Amino acid sequence: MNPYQSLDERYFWSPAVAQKNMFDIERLWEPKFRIGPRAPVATFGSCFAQHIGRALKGRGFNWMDAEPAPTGLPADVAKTFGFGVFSARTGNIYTASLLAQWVGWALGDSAPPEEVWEKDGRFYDPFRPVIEPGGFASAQEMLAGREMAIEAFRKCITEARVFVFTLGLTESWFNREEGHEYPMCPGTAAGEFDADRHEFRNQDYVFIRRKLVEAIRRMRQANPRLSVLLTVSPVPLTATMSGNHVLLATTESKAVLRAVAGSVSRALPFVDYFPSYEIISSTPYRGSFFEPNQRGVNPAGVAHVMDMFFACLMAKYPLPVATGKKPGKAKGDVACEEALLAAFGTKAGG
Amino acid sequence: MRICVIGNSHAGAIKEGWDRIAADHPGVAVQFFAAPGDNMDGLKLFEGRMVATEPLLAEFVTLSSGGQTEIRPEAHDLFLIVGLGLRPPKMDRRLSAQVYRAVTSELSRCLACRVAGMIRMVSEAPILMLPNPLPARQPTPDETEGRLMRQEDCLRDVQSALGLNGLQILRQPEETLSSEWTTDRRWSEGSTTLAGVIGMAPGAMHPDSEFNHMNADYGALWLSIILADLAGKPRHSR
Repeated sequence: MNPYQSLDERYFWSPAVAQKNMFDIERLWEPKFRIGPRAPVATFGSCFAQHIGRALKGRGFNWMDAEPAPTGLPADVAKTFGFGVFSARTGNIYTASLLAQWVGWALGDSAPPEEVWEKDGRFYDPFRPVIEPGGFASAQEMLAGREMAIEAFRKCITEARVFVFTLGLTESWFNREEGHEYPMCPGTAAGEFDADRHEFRNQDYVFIRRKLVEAIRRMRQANPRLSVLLTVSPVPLTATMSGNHVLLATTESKAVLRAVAGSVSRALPFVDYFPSYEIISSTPYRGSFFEPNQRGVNPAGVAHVMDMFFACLMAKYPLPVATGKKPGKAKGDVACEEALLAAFGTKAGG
Repeated sequence: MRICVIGNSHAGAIKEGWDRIAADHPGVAVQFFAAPGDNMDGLKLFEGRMVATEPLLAEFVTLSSGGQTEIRPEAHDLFLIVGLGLRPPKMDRRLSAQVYRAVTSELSRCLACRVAGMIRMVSEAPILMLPNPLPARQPTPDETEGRLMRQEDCLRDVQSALGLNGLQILRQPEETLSSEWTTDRRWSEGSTTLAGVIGMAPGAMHPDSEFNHMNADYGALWLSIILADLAGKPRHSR
């Protein structure tokens, strides 16, 4: 007798994976906590977080829209202004340290910088560079808009029961003098790159884990009932500044983020990890959930991830909410700022 | 003075109000063409007349007008468009000018505005537009803290965007409001459904929990204000 002999078959590769059709692989997630249909759920992070928010809303869950579009604005127009994409108009929050930065602003631990990017008479938010197509009319308008986003983000922290965060990148850009982090390299979507002021940092495991725990603990201080669900974006890097081939940079980046998510979810009882990354990226799925560019996730992949999410949730915590509603189409309508990098790199197609 | 009222369920209050005050205005004739929701979208221009092209709309038009099957523009001196999706949006004043323009641009394409455009293609008579009444419920913190853009600014900009001569969008009478964005509950209590008003479902009332539709008092007040304005009397709409 050895310890493996008493294990369920899900712990063995052959019966759990190799002998199954990829669509029959099951029980990949055992939720730590219930997500009831009335529990307010906030979603933030990298591009892939948008799918989770949309699926929750589509299936009748209480997805938080803390900064809703004005009444009467058509959904497609609203989306171009970043409404309804995440639970507030933060734009993509790619890194754990960016999350910590937003949490600090929202809870009053630090003041958001007054840095403004200006080009051709239009003004851009360095922390939400594509939130306003074509830029804001003035610096004041930009700062007022950011103030609204921070208020809405604070509401998500204090009123949500579940905070879903999708870790996206390890590669990041900082203001060398003032220490704040940008979601995108200045000079790509907006702004102007200044090698003296702007610094590239490829964040390591220790830094990311520290920042993630710092952000989560601070949110829990503000809202002791808050649970956190982590995911890792399966979307490969559009471009890398690491000096490695983008394929290697992607692999290393995702491995680090996955390791941090696993470690933090094991260490903190109110933090869980949902394996959307594995469902899209791991070998049994043979890359079939990627678009032809091998970067974007196709609608079938998104649907399978979310079906798995709800199936696992229902299995552990049966819910009387089988609305039958399905989320809207996924293809081509995810607002992914990082993809803009492709437009600014010579060979970084994506 | 021959007034043509075109609207949706919100025209019910105007009809009830007119029934109450008609005897005081012997020189005024008011004809109603009303259908619930956005059914009026089926109203199309045909050889200079506005014709109901959908069976349900035709039924409502006939019932509400007392037997008319179409709107002949030459038969009216003034058009009053009621509701039909013209709803001032609640917008935080910190939102950008671009977002504001997108909202007002969309609003200028609402059903009420499309009907106004259609009227102007066949008539030069003045057009007054009454937006959907503000809901009769407690105001939210946003509404009381002065965070929202002023609705008259938005309505003025929609009016400007429409660019139609002789068209005016009116703001809800001050005395009916309990706050900038809410109607006092007494103007909503006992409101009758459009089907109830036009005899399709006689006496059918909105439930007590309904706070979007107004009562006969509200309709009578609106018409009194408009008729006083038209007569050049000191009581002015805004």
